[in-house]
Amino acid sequence: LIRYIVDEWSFKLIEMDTKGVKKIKINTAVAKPIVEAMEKKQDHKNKVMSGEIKVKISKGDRFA
Amino acid sequence: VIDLHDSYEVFVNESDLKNDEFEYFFTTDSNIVYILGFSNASYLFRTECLVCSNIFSFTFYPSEQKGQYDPKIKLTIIKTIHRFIELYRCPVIYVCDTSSSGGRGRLRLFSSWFNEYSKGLFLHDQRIFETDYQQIPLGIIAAVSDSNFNQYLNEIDSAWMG
Repeated sequence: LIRYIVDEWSFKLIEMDTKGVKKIKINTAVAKPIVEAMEKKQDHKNKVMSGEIKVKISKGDRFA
Repeated sequence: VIDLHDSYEVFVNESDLKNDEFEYFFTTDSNIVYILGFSNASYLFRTECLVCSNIFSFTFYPSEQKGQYDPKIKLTIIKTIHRFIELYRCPVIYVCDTSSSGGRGRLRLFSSWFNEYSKGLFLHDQRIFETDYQQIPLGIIAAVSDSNFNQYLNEIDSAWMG
């Protein structure tokens, strides 16, 4: 079955097929600290988006 | 590469950040602020990999719930990644959301963005790492002149397989 998601940035249907992308089975125990670090970043992102954390903005130079 | 009229101006966020972090932001026509963050990605690699110590991890998110579809957002994000790589001469890794099943879809989305706008100036590769209970889709982008490019994901492979 090919499954789709609605892409949150374009509101278009995105096919979840990632054929051609190399898949690597990793050691869960070895990867645990890395996964936890990623989850911490994701958690921060979710809290900002939900309004739980307010990001401080101080406008500096133009970058791009 | 990207028409600046189709994207937003991006500014440095001068709020208190750590030494190995860079943060930028832009404001959309709907007045939504998007944060674009780059932080040192050395936690993904073994300390022995010296060439990996200069890789940055990229994330972006709106400072509140998103509004309507806005094609300028995609272009602004790509423009910022390109600028960062050109300015700091370092590769950029993006890790897609591991908390939902949409991560693989976003990996594919990033791939289509890259194919559309890299114009031969950047290298790109992706992986899906699988544990017993989740998938971690990630990708890496570097300047076409980066001779260590093939080494980066191989280093993650070997570091994570234990």
